[in-house]
Parts: sequence; structure tokens; C-alpha cells
Amino acid sequence: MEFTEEKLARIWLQSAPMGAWNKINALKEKYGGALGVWNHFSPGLYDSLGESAYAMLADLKRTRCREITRALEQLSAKVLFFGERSYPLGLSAIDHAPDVLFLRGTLPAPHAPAIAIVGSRRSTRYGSTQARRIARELAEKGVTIVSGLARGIDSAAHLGALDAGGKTIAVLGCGLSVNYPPENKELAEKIIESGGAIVSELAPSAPPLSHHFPVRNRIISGLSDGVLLIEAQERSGTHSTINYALNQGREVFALPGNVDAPGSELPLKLLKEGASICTCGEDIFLTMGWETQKETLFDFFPDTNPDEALQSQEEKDPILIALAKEEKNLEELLQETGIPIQDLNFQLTMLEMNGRIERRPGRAYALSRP
Amino acid sequence: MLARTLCFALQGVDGRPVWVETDVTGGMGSFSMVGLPDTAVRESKDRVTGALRNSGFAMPGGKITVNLSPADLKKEGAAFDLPIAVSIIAASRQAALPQLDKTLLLGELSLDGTLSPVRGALSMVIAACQQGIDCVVLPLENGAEVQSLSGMRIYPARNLLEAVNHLSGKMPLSAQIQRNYEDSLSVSTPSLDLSLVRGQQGARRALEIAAAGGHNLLMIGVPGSGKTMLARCLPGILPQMTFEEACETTRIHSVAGLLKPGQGLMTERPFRTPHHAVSAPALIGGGTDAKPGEISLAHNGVLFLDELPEYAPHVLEALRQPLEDGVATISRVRGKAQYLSRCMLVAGMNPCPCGYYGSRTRQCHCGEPAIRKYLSRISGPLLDRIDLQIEVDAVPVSEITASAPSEDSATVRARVQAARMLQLKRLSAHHLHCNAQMDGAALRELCPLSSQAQQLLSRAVEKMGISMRGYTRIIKMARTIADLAQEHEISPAHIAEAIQYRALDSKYWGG
Repeated sequence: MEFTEEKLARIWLQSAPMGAWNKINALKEKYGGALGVWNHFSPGLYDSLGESAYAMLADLKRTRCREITRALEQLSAKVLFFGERSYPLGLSAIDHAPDVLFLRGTLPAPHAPAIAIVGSRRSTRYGSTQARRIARELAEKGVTIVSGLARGIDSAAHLGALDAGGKTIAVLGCGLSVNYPPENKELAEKIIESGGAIVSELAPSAPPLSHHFPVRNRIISGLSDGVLLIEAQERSGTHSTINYALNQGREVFALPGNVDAPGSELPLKLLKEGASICTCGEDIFLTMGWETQKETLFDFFPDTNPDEALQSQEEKDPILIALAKEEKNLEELLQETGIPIQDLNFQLTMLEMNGRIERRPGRAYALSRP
Repeated sequence: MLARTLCFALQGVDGRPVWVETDVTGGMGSFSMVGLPDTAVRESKDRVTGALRNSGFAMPGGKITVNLSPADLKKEGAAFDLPIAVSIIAASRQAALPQLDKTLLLGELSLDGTLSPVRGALSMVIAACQQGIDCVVLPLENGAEVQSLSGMRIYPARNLLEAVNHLSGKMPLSAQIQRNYEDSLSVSTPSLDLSLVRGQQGARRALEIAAAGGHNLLMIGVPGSGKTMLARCLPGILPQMTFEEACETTRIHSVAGLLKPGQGLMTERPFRTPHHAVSAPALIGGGTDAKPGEISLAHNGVLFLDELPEYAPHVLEALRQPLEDGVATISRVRGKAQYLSRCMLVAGMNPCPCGYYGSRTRQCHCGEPAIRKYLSRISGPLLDRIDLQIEVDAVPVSEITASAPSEDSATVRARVQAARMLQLKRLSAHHLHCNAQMDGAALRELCPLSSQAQQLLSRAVEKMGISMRGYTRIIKMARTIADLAQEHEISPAHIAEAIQYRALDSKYWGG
């Protein structure tokens, strides 16, 4: 991979440890850009950069960033420079936009709608299920889902987009060649295969240090038109994403949860403060003012009138009738239908296999949603 | 003069013949015991001395040598007290004991000459029977343990004097009355009856299937959903133990010293519940003298492990081999022992660390990673050996008080017994006892599926994400369900029901 001297200098500076970025910005100002710093780089800068940053930059300069370019080639990654046409439009408008962005895969078209879905790494089943569902609903309508490839809600959001065959972008808190979290290696590959992208502002080999993540959150919100918060505690890394979104003028959505669940702390607080409520993909479309055909959108709430639903389906099966209002567990079904246990077990398997009902934890059954 | 009598040393549950030879000669007073005695046997010198003196005999003055032959076999326990004391009496000519070498003597002596019960009496008497010895003198409390053996003359004695007077013919003891095993069966009642369990139709059905096919069972449920109570009902619905089974189980308990004094053959299947802090040797068997572990004590019965993920992983892994082979082999420096361990494993666990995942009444606050971590503490290979995995939910209080009493254990047991009869007919050629023991080859041969059933199963595998190991488990369970219905062919309905017992196999949970 060949770069002009100026671009190489920008990649070079971008690869310095995050702690030295403020000092580097000051130097850029002093010497008139990255190329200036490259040309004026000398032991005289040792004091102003600090030991580790200086050593690293000196090393990289000596090898003309060979380590980085080689890693990028291996990953067949691209490099986006601030100010170029390929650089994401939304991102270029934010404060402290990264000067250089490393990219695997392909970014969507500049004006394509994008929503970030963020939340706790320690998500509950409720949170992950809803994150995945809403991500799917949005992706089905062509919305790009942006998230951070972390455990919990992030993973669920990416998976939801993949379910719909849509596009999704993962913004890493480490370098592109680092697998973090390790269990999401496969997910990352799938994201690229399906036409999505993995991006990072850090050098390819940068480790996942804890202070990287709050900083990369500005890119997550920057790449999106709005941020949907699923589950998070008041004091959490997710909070920083919301703050960035507000500062960058992005719309903030929150999914309500149980008031006594720890994961509802932040979403409910935001809702009280005026964030838009979101229970399905359509809510986001309406608030954002995006065009949509209402009838094709997914209807989250099943028919509120079970009798009507029954009539329309001409349902005779006692199990389906019993399940029409709400989910029931095995004992309740036994009582309500009066079917002997052996036969009930049999019929439940058949209905489940035909996709009419689904099994829930606690040996409960519910009607499958279309 | 020399006197010889026979006793037995325990090696596992087997009795090994040991000759107790005593030689009393003149000369300086001394007492030596040779032939690898352990501490308890070595100490018998002092007990015997006291017992002799306090029973009206005298410790001879000369040189006494007691040899326990064969010399290379380790002898343990206090059962040698009686044979040593009696042989000293014979060797010092304090009484004429003509039938001494044709009688099995065993018992621990206290200083006043009273006989105390010993562990492993049943094993020793059975071993004597195999050696062709049919006359036994043993402590009174051990009499009941061996009362069901046929062809033996058993004389329970209260103390040393009674034993000696019997052997010399001065005052013969009355023989233990033989009692048929079947007679003792009729008076036994299961400790917990299934009719006490209210509601829980789903779990009751699973319990019945598990009992009918000898399948291992995992119950997942919120705290207080009655997992332990359900498990405790299991011995009561399993078929009654045969005489052979009762002997096997009683021998193990006797060797472990767990029989109550005066207890006969065990008529009820054992139910063992080791705590989750149990160590591997305590569960599998071990210690320096290779004692039986909980899994062997549960032989022919039920081993119940509550809070399965709380057990140390290496302890659970150690379970796999004895569970598979039906025998626990323990090798120690001081000996090797094999104990049968054909038991049903019943395990209980919470669905998540807080216990309320999937509950209707309480909110679960566990994160998904925490749940996954909790479930992953049970390894796949162990889960492979647990055919039925069910979820149990708490029964609402209203239902406990309102509902009519449900079926009792005896009714269910009758169905289970009938299903087992069918299995025995089918499996006896393969030397198997129940459906759960079938391996892949036996399964293909004995459980052919109709094309309809096969079709259903293939579709389920595809649609419901059933793993390959889940596949064979389902066929085994379906076979048992068919047996319970007294049907010769596995129908699609049987397969469909079996599919419901796969709580951990499916994708909706932790996947």
C-alpha cells in the first residue's frame, strides 16, 4: 500500500497512544499539519511528547510505518482521511473528528440513514431480544445499524441487522487486527461479508484499553442520525455515547424497561428528560421523519382483541385458543385445555415445529409472532 | 497346642478368607500377632485379654502367637476379635471346641466380653457360603442383616461366653429364624408418596418416564418449585428391588458401616443426597482404604445432586465413568476395590444465579453472560448422560390447597414395572437392564423407527436445532414412552413427546 508523504505522516500521528493526542494536536498547529511534524520530528520533541509516545513515533518514523501498512494490507483495510470525499459525511461534522479512520468492509452511501443502538454489556434477555428485534426492523427498511461490537446489547444489535440482511457498522475500541471481545470474531467476519463495515481510529495493533472506549463512542454517535439506548445503568460507558449524541445534535431514543430493573435506570431517566420513546422501528421512522409505508412496518403489539384474531384465523386448536391472550406455562395449559399430559406434549411439539408457538423459559409457551 | 479358625477380611464388598491360627506354648509370657494386621486388629490383643478375663477365662501364661494367613493380605477392622479370642481358648485347652475350623466366627469384643456388631457381615457370610461353610456365629445385632440368606445356620450370640458354650456344645444357641426377602418387602412403605405432590403434571410424567427407562433426569426450576420433593418420590415408583439387588446394595452399605444395628436387607431403594461441597473421593469412593462413595451407596437407587452447578467441576467429571460403566473402580496404595454403581442420577438446578429466570412471580436480574456462565459449569459430556431435562415451576398456593389428591406411588409403580418387563424381554440378550443403557449399536438394532417417526424426527432436528446427541436421547426416551403405553412400535407421538424433554438442548436458552 502506497501513501503520499503527507498521508503517511497523518497515519503516523494517528498511531500514537491516545494519551498523547492533545500534545500532537498542539504540535500540528505549531508546524502546520502532520507533514510538518514529520519533517521536524527530532529528539527535541521528547519533552513535549513524553517518553512512550516519542519512542513509538520515532520507531514508526524510522520504518516509515511499515508495521502499520503491512497490517492494513493483510486485513485488506482501507484508510479514510478527514476532508476526503470517502470520509463519512456525518462524522466530519463532529468535534474532534478522527483525522484518519481505518476501515474494513464498505461504508454505506453518504446520506443513507443510520441509527446507533447502544446499551449495557451485561444485558438481560429482555434487552438483547428487543435490541435485536428493533435492529432487524430498522435494517429491513434500509437503515444502517451502528454499534460497538461489544458483548450484550451491541452484539444483539449487529445480529438483528444481519438477520434482516441489512448493513451494520461496528466501531472498535481497539485496532482492526485485534479480536476483542474474542467471542465476537465470527460476528465481525459476518458483518464484513454482509456488506457492512468495521472501523477504528486506532492503529491496527492497538490493544483494547479501557480509556479507548469512551472516546470511540463519539464515532458511534457521529456516524448515526440518532442513538437508541436499550439498557444501561446510570454510571456506565453508554452514558458517554448519549452525551456525545446530544452535543452532536443527534436524536436520542430510549427503550423503556421495568422500573425496578437496574438496566432501566438510564433509559427511564432519559425518557423523563425528554428523549423519544421507542418500542419499535416505526417510532424511529416517525420521529426522524423518514419516508415509510406504514402497512408494511412490523406491528409490535399483537391484535389487542383476541376474539377478533381468532375469528380471522378460524382457529379451532384449544392450545392456540388458550395462548391467544398471553403466554402460559405447561401446568396452566393442562388445566385450561384438559388435554392429558402425554397428548399435550405431543401437540406442543407439533405446533412448535410448525412455527405456530414458541417455547419460553420456565416451560412456558406463547404464540409465535409473524 | 495349635487352633485354627476361619474369618474373612474385606476387600471392597468381597470377603477374602483369612485363617486365624493360634499357637500357645510354654515359656516366657508374650503375645505376638503376625500377618499384616492394621491398627484395629493389632489392638484386639488388649480387647481380647480383657474379654477373656471378664468372661471367666484366663489369658494363658506362655508364648502366644497369632498368625493371620494369607500373610500378604491387609486385615482391617475389629471382626477378628472373636475368632482370635476363641482360638486362644481352644489352643490353651480351656474348652474343647470340636467344630472350630468349620465355623465362621466374627465380631468385635468389648472388655466385658459383649459382642458388638461389625461392618461387612453380609459380605463375609456370603463369602463363607461360597467356601462351603454353613455355620456362622456372629453378634446379635448382625443377625437380621443375614437372615434372608438360605442354606446357612446362623447363630447370633450376645457375648463371648455364649459363643464358646455354643461351640463346645455345652449350651447350644438357637439359630436365627430365616425370613424371606419377599416377606420383608410387604411391610416396607416408601418414605414419600407421589400423592403428596400437588399439581406438577408435567414433572410427574417426566419422573414416570425416567423411572420406567432408568433415564437420568435433570430438573431446572426456581427455588421452592419442589425439585427435591419430586426426586424423593422416585425410589417409591421404581420397581421393587429383587433379592439380588437388595443383597448388592445392602453389602455396600454394610461395608460402609451405614446399616443400623438390627437392620435386615434393605428393601427400599437408596436415595443419596451428597452436599455440593462433596469431594471426589467421597462421591466416587476412595480414602486410604478404598471405601465406597456416594455413587456406590446409591447403587440400585437414586443419586440426587441438588444445585448441580455448585459442585466442583472435577467432581462432576469424575462421575462420568462410574455412571457409564455402572461400577466404580478405586485404586489406592493399600488396595484396589470395585463397587457397583448402577444408579439413576437425578440433578436439580436453578435456571440462573438468582434463581428466577423465567419465573412468573419474580423478576430475574441476571445478565445474559451471567446465565450463560452459570449453565456452562455443567459440561457437555455430563449433560450427554442425562436423557431427560425438564423445567419445573412453582405450584401456586391456591392449587396446593384446592386440587384433589393425585395418583399415588403404587399406581405409577405398577405401570413402571410393566414397562420394565417389556424392556427386560427386549434387552436381556444384550445384557442390559433398561432403555437408558442402550448404546448406539443397540439403539439401531432394537429401536427401529417407522418412516413416519423418522420423518418427524428429522424435521425436528432441522427446525428446532436439536443436536446429534439430543437425537439419540430422543429415540431412547421415545422407546420408554412406547413401553409405558405397552406398544411395540415407536410412533410419531412418542417421538414428539420425547422432544419436549430437552430443555437444555434447545436454542432459546443461553444460546
